[in-house]
Amino acid sequence: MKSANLNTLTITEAAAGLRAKEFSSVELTQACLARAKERNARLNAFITIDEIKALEQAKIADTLLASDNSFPLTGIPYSIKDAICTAGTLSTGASKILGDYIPIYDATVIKKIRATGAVLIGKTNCDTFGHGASNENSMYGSVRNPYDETKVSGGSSGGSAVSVADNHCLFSIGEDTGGSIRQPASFCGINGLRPTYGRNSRYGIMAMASSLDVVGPMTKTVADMAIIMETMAGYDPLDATTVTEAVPNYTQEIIGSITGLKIGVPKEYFELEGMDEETKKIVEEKIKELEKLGAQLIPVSLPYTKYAVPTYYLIVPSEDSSNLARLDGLRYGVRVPGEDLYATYANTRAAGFPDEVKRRIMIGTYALSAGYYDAYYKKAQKVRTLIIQDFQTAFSRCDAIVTPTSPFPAFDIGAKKEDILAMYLADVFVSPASVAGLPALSIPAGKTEAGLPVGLQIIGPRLADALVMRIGNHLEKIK
Amino acid sequence: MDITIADIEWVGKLARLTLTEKEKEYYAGTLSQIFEYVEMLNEVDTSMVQETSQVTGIMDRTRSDESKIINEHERQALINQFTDSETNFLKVPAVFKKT
Repeated sequence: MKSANLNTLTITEAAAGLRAKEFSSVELTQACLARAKERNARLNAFITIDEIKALEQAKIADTLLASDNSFPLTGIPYSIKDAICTAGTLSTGASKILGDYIPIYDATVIKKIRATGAVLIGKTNCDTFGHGASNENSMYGSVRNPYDETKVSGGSSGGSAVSVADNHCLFSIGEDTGGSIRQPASFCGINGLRPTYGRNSRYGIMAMASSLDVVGPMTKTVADMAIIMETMAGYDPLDATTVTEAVPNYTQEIIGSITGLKIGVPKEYFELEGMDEETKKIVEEKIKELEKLGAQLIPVSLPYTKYAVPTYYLIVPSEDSSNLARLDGLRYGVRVPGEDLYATYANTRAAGFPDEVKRRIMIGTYALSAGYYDAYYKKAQKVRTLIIQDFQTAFSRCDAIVTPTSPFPAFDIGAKKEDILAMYLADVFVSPASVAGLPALSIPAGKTEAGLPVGLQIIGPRLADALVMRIGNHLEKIK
Repeated sequence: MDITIADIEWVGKLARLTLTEKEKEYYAGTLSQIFEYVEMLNEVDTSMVQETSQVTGIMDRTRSDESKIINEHERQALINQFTDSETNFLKVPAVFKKT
């Protein structure tokens, strides 16, 4: 292994190279920083690149590696979505209202990753507070797709996806409310896991929709993902929604056989009007590989699929509008003074939030307001129950479900920016699992004629994160 | 579903958002579109369905109500992070007007 192109290694490869003393963490980090800085001007994946702190961490990691006091992630450079709090490092959530916010604490998942001696190189661009499916809603500019710079990266964790796909680092930590890890992972040709809701702590994640938000890994391989999940999953007294079930040994669990598994193929995800035919064909071809691996494909139906997006776009803005009420210019971030207290709040929020955040706050405020609550928020929560039951019925017949991650590959920057509904419908295949709180993994399925990546989604029952990764791990090995 | 400029003014006030005239018109348009779209949920009979507010089933989880001791460095960092401060005090705009 040569020191050139160290940034293109997987975690597993780099961890082996570091232990064989083929290169140091400082050299690996320098390779990533060089690539990230060179490419950021074009792709805009990072809001902050912290070279000095990264190299300090890499030096410490080299000491840990020399002393045999190391973990699989020791010395491995990574990035974090800017909507996740990092102690001592700017965390804006891609907003202006938190444009100067430096948290004094790490999100629990980040604290766990830092404890392994992994090397944080920077904070990645995203749709502001996670509001978007294309990364065009960032107050720090769009992120460009490395496969075609005229296309979007996907969103909202677009910068994270690009930082991994374009080899600025070896992995990234993203956040997924509707599809914000899986959809950009599919657009950029990498792996992205939305873990079971409650598996990983949300403490220190800038809250968007508290009943849906999860934090998860974005990686080059499924094996790398298992290492990260083992590090960050688990009960956290600081997040009352984390589950107490023991964290499985994911790195071992993903190796097991998938022979005899029943894999459901839901017709609703393949019969969508307006779906890209090439995407459909690539995913169908990839799914057939499961039969060669000894799994059995069975047709299933999820009849409430089409109601997931409208359900999502009532529940999420409602919870969003409540969570974002705390950003008023008094306690954190930027303040725009007005003639009285009300005007200070209203001016600060008008200047600090982009268009899409304002829209979601207003949708949520309207849906929760007196006289409308039952018709909108409560109605959506009831349909949410039916979507959950839909999956329960399907999982009584199969072990996991496979679908396309997105109905189309990455689209042109600007193509859907003005058509709000078209943008919301980009979430059509990712939002059902989110609403139901299920684990869902996107892995690369192939590329279109034009060279754009297409993703395959694997959805499992609650807490079957290991199973979806196992299926992904086997599929990934078939080229 | 028609969301009017007056609706937007009302929602903007509730949500503490200063809106320009152009923005009011724009958001009235996009919110009308969105609320018209979500009307499709009315096709679903939910008369016998319980709402879901959380998916974990975890109930009544509590923690002890204890104050957390932080060090001087963290205390200073917290004060510095506040939008406005003076010595050890956190400054916020006055709630009451001087008479």
